[in-house]
Amino acid sequence: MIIRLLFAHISMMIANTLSLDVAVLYEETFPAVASFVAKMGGSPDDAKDIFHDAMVVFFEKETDVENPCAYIVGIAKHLWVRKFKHDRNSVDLDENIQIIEEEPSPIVTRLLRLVEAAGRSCLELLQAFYYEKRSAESIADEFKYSNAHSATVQKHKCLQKIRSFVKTKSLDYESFVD
Amino acid sequence: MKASLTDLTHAIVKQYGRKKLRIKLEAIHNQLLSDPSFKQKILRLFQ
Repeated sequence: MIIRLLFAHISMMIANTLSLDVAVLYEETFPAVASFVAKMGGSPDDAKDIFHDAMVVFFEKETDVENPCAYIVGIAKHLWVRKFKHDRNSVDLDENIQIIEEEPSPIVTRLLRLVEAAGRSCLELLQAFYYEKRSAESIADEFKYSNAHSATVQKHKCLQKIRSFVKTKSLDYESFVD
Repeated sequence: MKASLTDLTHAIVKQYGRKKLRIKLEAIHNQLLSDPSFKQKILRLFQ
């Protein structure tokens, strides 16, 4: 019982830390992006949209950079130029930043809706592994598995479960699925 | 274009993770902008 409570406490601490990190990064970086957008003639809503897009790109790319704030501002500048077809030469762009355009396909959006409706527990676990790229140990703590191995076993079961679900739901989309 | 079941599964997980991140960013934005001094700091940039 005590161990369970301890795990719950640790897991809350981890969740708070992750949330705090994003919040701190937001508070430190958003004003710089807003300043850039304002100079380019954009609105506060444009600043929010570009900043959120830049944060998504940042978290999906390598987050292990020396200066995350400067890097996110750099991403935002690229996204601004791309979105508003702005003259590249009039913006100080960091050419080391490469952004790959990746729009979600309609089939993925539709399948996600179906998978979510069927239950989110596996999605939660899998996104912690694959999207947040967290360690099996921290995931085991948060999801209350006895150890990292159990979390990894559950990850494979969840992958299988969603694959099977997707297979049955994809029958209408045979042209998309092997 | 054909995609394997594994690719589709990973694309679904990625889109779910992205959706969760955007919800979190929206919540942080609303929380920060509820602080009048932060809101003023941002709005001043657009004046």
